[in-house]
Amino acid sequence: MKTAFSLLTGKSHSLINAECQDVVLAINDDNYTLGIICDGASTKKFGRRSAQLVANATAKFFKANNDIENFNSNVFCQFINEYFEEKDLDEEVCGSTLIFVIIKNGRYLLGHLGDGAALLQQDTDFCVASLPENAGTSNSTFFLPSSSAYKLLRITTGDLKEKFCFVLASDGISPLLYDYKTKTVCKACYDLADLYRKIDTEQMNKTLEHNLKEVFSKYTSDDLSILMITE
Amino acid sequence: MELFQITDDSLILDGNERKPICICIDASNEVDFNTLTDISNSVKKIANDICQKVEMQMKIEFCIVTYGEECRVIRDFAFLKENEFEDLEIQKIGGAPNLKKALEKCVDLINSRFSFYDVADISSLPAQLFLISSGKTCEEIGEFSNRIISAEKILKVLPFKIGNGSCEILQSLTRSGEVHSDTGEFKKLFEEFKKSAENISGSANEIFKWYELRQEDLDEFDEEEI
Repeated sequence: MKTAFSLLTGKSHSLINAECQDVVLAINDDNYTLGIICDGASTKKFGRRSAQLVANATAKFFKANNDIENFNSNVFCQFINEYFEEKDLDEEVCGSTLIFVIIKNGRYLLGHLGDGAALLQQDTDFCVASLPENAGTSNSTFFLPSSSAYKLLRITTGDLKEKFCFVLASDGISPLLYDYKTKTVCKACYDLADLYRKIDTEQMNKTLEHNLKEVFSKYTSDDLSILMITE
Repeated sequence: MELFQITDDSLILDGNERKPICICIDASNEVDFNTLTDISNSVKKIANDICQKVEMQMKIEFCIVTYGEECRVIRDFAFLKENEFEDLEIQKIGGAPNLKKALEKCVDLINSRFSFYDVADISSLPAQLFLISSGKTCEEIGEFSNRIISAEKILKVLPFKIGNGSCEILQSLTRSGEVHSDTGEFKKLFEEFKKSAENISGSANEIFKWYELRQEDLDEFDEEEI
């Protein structure tokens, strides 16, 4: 299995020398593959740090509990909340969205809290596997840590076909990847998925970096992050 | 090695149409802190209202420039992101207002955006330049105003006077010579903004709800005056 990703600080942050609020993690363990995208809330005091902590905690959780058939949202969210509590941090000053997908033995578990999107190609067609929580309305995105997170974390599971590709994207990119009305996934996703099957991860990382910089950044001032997992 | 580059038309751009809006704000010593706060709140309200509708959010591109003795690009043209301006506070730049420099910067930004639209085969309606100015400038605008008027088809300037300066400078930037000010002409201004919003998008009236709020304030003010 291959995982490629890239992230780029958006103009809204680079112009004021602020750091990118997105964090991406990809783990290829012997037993499982895990991809994580977190987008720190710029409205919180520790937005960037929150994204890093949520990503780290998620990776830590699945390292110890990668039996995806017995995943429990409540236990997972409790783990994240406690991870912040141990550092004397809470939802007052911290907040991050989270999208993760863990793949093991031909099955996947997709978790999503907040905005951004997850797209999945099985055989030939892409579909929107998980939509942003806010659906375009303001002030309605949710973050971790949160005492009510277990109610908000949306979980999808399923079998993967032999040929598949996950594309996870933060909210800077996701509106460009699918039509919110028809849920049609853009041609660019098909092009990138086809390409990744032909080239290695190092080249794909460079390709993603190039496209974030040269194409996606023209349409948004937000931070940009994208992660791809394919067979 | 040449890297694969995805094409613009392989992304979802909700139609190839953009509506660029540039807001140019006088943040010189001629404008007081309270007025800047008021302007910041109005910009926030506009931005939030745009984000209420994904259709508008994906079409309207927003740019903010402030000026005093120097000129700052607070935000280059791009779609708006939800809550992006939650903490927006237009900072005072200070010094004497250099309106000429500010206009040159805005025109540069708009031109460069139009160049991108051309390359990406994106159609756009005339750019709207909301000029919120004290009506003073330390450098003569001169022939530059003629250039702006002659570019009316692609750039419409809506001057809005917020200080004690002269209307003449701002008048020279529009063919009609119409300038709105805070001395009893707010209602007219709101109507003009609404009209221009209608031109931008059929549903863009939603954007300008904040004018109605301000208009209520004005009504109260009028009553007090009477």
